[in-house]
Amino acid sequence: MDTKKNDLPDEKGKSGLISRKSFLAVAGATGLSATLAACGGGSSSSSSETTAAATTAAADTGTTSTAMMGPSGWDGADAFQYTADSAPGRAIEGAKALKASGNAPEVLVVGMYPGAIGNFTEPFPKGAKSVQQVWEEETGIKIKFVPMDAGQTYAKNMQAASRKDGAQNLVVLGMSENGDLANAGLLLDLTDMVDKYKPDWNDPVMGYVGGDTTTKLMNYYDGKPYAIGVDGDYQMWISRSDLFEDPKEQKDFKAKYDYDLIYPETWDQQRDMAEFFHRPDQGLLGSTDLRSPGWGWINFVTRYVSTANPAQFYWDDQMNPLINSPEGLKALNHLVETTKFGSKDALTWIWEEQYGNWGQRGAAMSSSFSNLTKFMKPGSPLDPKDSGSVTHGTNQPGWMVGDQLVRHSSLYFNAAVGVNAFGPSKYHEVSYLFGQWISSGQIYTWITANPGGYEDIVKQYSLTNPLVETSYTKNTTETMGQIIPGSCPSISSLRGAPDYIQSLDVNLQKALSGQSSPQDTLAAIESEWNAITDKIGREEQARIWVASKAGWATNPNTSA
Amino acid sequence: MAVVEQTKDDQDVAPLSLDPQAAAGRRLGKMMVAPGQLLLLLLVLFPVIMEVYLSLTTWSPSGGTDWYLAYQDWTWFSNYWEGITSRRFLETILRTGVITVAAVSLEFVLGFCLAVLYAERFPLKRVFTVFMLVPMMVVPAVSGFVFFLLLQSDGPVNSILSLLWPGGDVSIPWLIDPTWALISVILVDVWQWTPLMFLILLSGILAVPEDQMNAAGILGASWRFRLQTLVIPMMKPIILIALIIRSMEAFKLFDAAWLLTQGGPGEASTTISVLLYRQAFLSSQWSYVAALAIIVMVAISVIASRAIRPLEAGQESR
Amino acid sequence: MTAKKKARIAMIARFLIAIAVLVVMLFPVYWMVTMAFKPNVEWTPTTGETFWIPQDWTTANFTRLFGIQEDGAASFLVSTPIDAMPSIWHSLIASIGGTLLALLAGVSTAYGISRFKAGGGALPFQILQLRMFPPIAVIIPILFLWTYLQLFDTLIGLILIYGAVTFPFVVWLMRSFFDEIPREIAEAAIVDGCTPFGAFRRAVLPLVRGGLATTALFVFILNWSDFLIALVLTDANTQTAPVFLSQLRTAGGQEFGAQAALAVILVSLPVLISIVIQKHLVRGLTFGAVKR
Repeated sequence: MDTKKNDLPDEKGKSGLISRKSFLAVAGATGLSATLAACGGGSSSSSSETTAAATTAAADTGTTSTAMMGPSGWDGADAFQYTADSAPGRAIEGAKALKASGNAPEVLVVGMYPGAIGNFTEPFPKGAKSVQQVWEEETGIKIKFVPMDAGQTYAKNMQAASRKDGAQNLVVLGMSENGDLANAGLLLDLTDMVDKYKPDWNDPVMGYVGGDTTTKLMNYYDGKPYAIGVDGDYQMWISRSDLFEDPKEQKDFKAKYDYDLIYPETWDQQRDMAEFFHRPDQGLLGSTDLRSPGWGWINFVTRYVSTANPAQFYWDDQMNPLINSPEGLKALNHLVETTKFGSKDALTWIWEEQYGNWGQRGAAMSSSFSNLTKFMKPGSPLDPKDSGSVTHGTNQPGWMVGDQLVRHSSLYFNAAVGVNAFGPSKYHEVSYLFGQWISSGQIYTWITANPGGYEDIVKQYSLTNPLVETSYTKNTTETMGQIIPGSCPSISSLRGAPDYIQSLDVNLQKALSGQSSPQDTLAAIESEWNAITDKIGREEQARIWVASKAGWATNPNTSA
Repeated sequence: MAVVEQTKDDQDVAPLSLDPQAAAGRRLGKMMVAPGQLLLLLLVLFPVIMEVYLSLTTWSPSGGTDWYLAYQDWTWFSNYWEGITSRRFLETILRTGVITVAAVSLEFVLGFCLAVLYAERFPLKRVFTVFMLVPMMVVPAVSGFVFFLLLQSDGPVNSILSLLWPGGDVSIPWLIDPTWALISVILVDVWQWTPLMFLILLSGILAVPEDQMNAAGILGASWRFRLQTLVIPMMKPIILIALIIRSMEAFKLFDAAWLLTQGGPGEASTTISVLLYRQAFLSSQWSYVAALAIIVMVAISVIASRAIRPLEAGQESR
Repeated sequence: MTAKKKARIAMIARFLIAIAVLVVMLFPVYWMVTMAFKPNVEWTPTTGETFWIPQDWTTANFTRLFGIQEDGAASFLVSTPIDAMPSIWHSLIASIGGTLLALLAGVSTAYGISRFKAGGGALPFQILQLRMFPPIAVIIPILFLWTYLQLFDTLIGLILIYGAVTFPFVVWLMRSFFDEIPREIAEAAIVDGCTPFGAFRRAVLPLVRGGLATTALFVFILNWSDFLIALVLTDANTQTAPVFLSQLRTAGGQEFGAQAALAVILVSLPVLISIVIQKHLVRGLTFGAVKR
């Protein structure tokens, strides 16, 4: 092992990585946490992973015990390599063993969003292999991706569940679908396989940013793992650095509002700034966070969850909605009031319009997935005016609750894969292993760096990877590192989640289009939510809701 | 359910001139309708039975049980009760009715005017006829997103209107305002299906025997008079069929409403099909959907059977 | 002004009005066609600019549909090559098959009803009732039925369902065409020695050629455009073109350009057919042979 490159990564995680031998030498029960802190990790959950990677571009010649698996043959590939004694390594070895014993199909059929298939099938960087190729070569099991339109996965999955359709070995789902699909019997309970193969989800270096909380948020329903999150649809607040750091703008702002222009930390500030920068006659909109059906409700959520310390929940522990409250009203009023600082067509804009407008430098602020910065690069048709270089990401603004500034982001959609319980049972295990492999720190980081698909940052290891940094921006990786641990779920890990969301979504649209007052809207949502809960069974639902609170941030504000 | 019962002993075979042929004719008739009846059986019986069954339960696939075990969630008529007392459902039916009446009326009037226009000659008429039919050949899923782009606040339609309107800046909120959204949906349907009305009505006009038209013309009747007294009465059956069929289809309108506004804003352009789509595809309330669908089906049945009466009366007199 | 001149002016007036109407009606189609030839920048919504005519004409959207990637055209991102051919093929087979099936069963039934009132007086209405169920609701039991019959995600399954759901249109349209034919025609043929079926085939059927063509076109368009049925009853193996079209998204967003290109391809087939049968389309209902 090359002991020359022993650089312990600093807080911001440069590309230096630890050599395994020296790490193990240092690690000890007490030394562990100190070392982990230096790694930029921080969760105190148990570490099942220590993975080293060669730090030099030069081939790791003649090393020792553990052969490196994973992509190779290009500069920086070593960052994504792993040994057999790691989560991805165990997945590969397990898959190979299953294939040898006849428990793996020729072709593993995996459902995936069309916009994300590229993450797996497109070689990246140029000249490298693709994620799919590496798996196929290492295990001998072919993968077939079946495009599943994101808007249709719930319906298709539910239909497949009711028909006991096992055509896909791994199904793709959005996070809000996990409760219903688990109940419908489509998703296999992964507990045993998780115990057996030990994924790295909670690992401080390789795991999800935010550790166990995020794992529970993404993968668990009713206390058991049913899905494997392979996405990071957290909402990042973006502002135009060329406007916010412009001395003239700062002067004018201060003159008008009597406080300094900063990147917004509270929603009240955001409102002022949106008003200040809303200059449609000059082609500039104040704030284009989305308001359309299916897309706008998350922007209510981001205003809602931070109205209490540490967070404002959707229900109390008896499943009574908490949304028809002063907190809910505050959030909704703000949402309705700031709509006018966006596009006239705000109620029809979805992310394609938003991104297109941002690329034209058409807005001062917005709220988007982190993958925006992946697409705002010189030469991209989405970024004709080089907006990428002036995009500054931060956590969502929040509210002052007493003396504490509470800032939470949230997430929605968020692709996950689940093992199809109706697929041939002897293939369940190898299906799971593909999921473990693609969700591992090494492989997922490689996946998310790929601009061929829109899978976002969600793993700790990705925050310090140079390829990811180049694909996104350094500001983005830093921001995601702050946002994710402090996020609250939108409505998921709950049976009937799609119903609650629909009720919220449709009623919000009525409020936004002036058909219903904010007060009436919240009352309507409350009553519809109660009806949904009663139909499912209040006690059972309350129990599951309480279990899902494990995915909620306990820290009111993790922004730097 | 208002399925009109088929009475086998109701075989009103029209009088044939030659008696031995009558039996052969009846046999042939039975054989000729047999495939249709088989299709009917296959495709109506099972779905209807299953839907009725589910509608009397609270089964949902998200419960994890098979559908034929739905009796475990038996609930008699609570779904039906919930439906007919649901403000949302009743408003949606009303809204869909309004859209249907508005769209079909417009399609009829425009189609009729166009048919009259095309009844007489003018250069390139053949070519124009083919092109006039193009809108109905566009896949509805496509016309949905094309109109979505066209009807943006600063989109092409408003730009064109701004050119034509004195005073310049037209910015109709086609997809954003509740009323305009409804209008947009009607507009798209009219655009897509006026050609069909046009075609059917034109065929009807041209079916009027030339000699009768000429004779009336020679006798001095104006075009309009001939239209009123000759053409329209003869076209009654065709007009009726066209209206009934088009209304039935318009009532089930989905693509335009969903693709333009997702039934919105809120529920301003939510048709019955959009409502059912939300409940069946974005949720899994399959048993509630079954009850609603049966209510809708019965309603359409009743209305259609009333509307068809004059047509059937015309049939009897053959 | 002479009568002739009046007629001439009237004709020109009709021509002008027809053009005006056509322009308005075809504007969305024009938009769709031009979008198919626009490069990515020109159809991306909210660039603030409306391109009335494509500035940088490109066929990249079309080539993208068939697996050829051109840089900077349909999608700037490194994206997976796609192939629309299988889905177009499936659409073709399913639509043609379904249309033939509907015609076969429908023409036969329509004649039986029209000539012999077979099946009882209620049969026509019952057939119409097939179309009174909101398709969204009825597709779910069909899904189960198809699964049990192993017809899910098969072309045969699609052909069967397409034939079945358009069968009512054939019956109702063809019945009215058959109703226009006096019974004397068939009876005369029988007197001449035909069997009842022969009378149908040789004497009556040729007379409704035009109506048949129109009905066939209409039914084909319905099947060709279907989205919901294919969405639910197919999966990876028999995906049809409209479903494929709706799923055209890369990570960079919905590919309006490629969707428009596919839409143009899809609309050209019915247009082609209607050009071929245009003679029958309208004149079809006037039978030279029979005066009433």
